[in-house]
Amino acid sequence: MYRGEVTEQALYILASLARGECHGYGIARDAEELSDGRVRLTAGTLYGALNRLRDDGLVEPAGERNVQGRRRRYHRLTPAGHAALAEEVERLRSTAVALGARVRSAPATPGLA
Amino acid sequence: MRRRLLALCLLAYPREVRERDGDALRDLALDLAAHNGTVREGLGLIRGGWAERRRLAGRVRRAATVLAVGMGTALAALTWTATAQPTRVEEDRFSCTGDCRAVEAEVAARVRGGWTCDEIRASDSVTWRCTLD
Repeated sequence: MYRGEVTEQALYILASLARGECHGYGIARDAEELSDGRVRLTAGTLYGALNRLRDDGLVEPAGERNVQGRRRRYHRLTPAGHAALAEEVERLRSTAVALGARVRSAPATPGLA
Repeated sequence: MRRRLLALCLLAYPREVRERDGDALRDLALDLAAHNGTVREGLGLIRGGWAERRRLAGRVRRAATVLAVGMGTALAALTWTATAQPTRVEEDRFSCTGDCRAVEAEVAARVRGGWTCDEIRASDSVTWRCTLD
């Protein structure tokens, strides 16, 4: 079980890599698409986040390849990364269920308990 | 122009990071600048560079702390061993019955040489236990 904190950016990076190996540019674009434009990663942010995820053992390098004349570094999830992503998604799901139930049971008129 | 500006912003990163990942970072920033804008990418690099410097500084600080604690522990262990648990470097025993002059001379020589000798008398013999710390 991963004990560290998964930030929103890290969550989208992990989610992006859940599809398979990917390079930085692909991860940044995918994260933006997945978050509906809310998470826009710059190279600096992405580099730092990937380093932290790699230090935590959630992501590992998957070599370099030439794509359209540019050398791109690929990254992939480790088994611990898959597990951390699944755990975080489950945590968000239960949070959404609990909060959703509260919203549904709240009185329609604000201020009346 | 864009390339030059981003290369300038890359200077915010520590030298070792630039040497290792500088090209990849610059290429990635160039790709994303077409989408995010050069200014945003440049600021992202500067922010990321400072964060990386803080991270490396923290790592050095942690390593120095671990080293200091390790050396302190080793020093304390050595001090404790030297003071609380003195070790006998050498121990000799001399015994004699009857004429003990030769043995007494040897024991006296040892005492002059810094040894500590305890005399143990029995009914028919004398034993000296000499130790050198």
